[in-house]
Amino acid sequence: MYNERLDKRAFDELRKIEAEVGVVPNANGSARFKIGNTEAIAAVYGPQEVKPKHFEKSDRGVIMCKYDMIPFSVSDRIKPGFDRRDMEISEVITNALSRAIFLEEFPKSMITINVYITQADAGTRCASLTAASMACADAGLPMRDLIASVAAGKIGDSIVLDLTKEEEDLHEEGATDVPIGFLPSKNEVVLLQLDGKVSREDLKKIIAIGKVGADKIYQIEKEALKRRFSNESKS
Amino acid sequence: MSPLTSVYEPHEGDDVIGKVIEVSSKYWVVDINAPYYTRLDARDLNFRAEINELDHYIKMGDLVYARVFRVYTGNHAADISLRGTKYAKLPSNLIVKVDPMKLPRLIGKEGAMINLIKTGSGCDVIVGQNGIAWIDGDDDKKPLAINAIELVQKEYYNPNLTDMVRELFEHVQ
Repeated sequence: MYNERLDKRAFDELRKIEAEVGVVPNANGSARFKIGNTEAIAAVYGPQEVKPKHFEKSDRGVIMCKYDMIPFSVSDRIKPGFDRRDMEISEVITNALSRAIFLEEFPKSMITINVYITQADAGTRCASLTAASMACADAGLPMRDLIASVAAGKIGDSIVLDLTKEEEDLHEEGATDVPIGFLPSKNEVVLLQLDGKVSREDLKKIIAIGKVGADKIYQIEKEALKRRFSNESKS
Repeated sequence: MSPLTSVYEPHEGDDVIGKVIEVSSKYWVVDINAPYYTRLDARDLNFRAEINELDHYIKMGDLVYARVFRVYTGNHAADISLRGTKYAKLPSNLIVKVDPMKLPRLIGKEGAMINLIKTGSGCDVIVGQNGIAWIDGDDDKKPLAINAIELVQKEYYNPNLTDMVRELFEHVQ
């Protein structure tokens, strides 16, 4: 049984969130998104000429996304470089953002997105996706909507929102992790992965609780972007 | 709906400043801050150039002030030309990039702001419609013009911007 969460949060409560845009001065757009102890920094460059040339599409632009965990982001140092997990997450971020950005407005061009995880405590792909979408908005790319992404899941018999690494590792309780990405105002799902075992009814409940969390994140994203263009934001 | 920051998209008739990044036998490839590289053909000049010796006239890394005369449908790539008396290779290499969305603020009503920067700093400033400002003048005056342009970029939403820029120049004198 899992009646009380390890960090005493309510079951549908998010961790503490910090969001900020314009953190990388040399990039066209950039954002930092921190949820609990997970922190992602995203930088967007472009649209620019496609390199290498064979990735070019004549009717729309392409997104080149690179997700990377910095060696010191976890307690056991991880090997620097692009591994299979990084490849997978880059791919899912690319797919999700292709649904959000009007790529057909930039034929034969490339948008480069670099996401770095400086601290990891579960939910890095959701934090990366949220940061990347904020950075794209900051770069002035035309988008259908911002992406708000959060992990939800099931531990024991409880449906929980925004799992930490400790909770993800409760294998005896049957911890299930479901990262979900939304276009909140369109109510569309752009990212849905599942790690664990869950019944069909429970999955529906998990997606519903994820939507509640995503709506809250959506408000925070919008506020961060507004702050960039108002008087108070000057740093 | 228009974003608060933007990417430059070339239109026919724009006056732009670009940097030569490749010299070929018959044309130059120019970076004009747009998503696609731009071509300047050896035939579209206001002087006669020998084919295969284009290096003599405009070298790699040089800046040109040119006009967009053709935009391709589909990918919005552009061709530029130097035809016309006001277009030429620029004699020096100092540029400041400005967000194209903030350009109207930098130029001001009938050029009020840009003229203020020109007279205040004593520098020669040309602003291309692609968001590149070229600055030429005495070495000790150039930083003043750069500071003024940076200030406009940072405080572009401020209604008292003209006073702030004027203050900047007075402060230095």
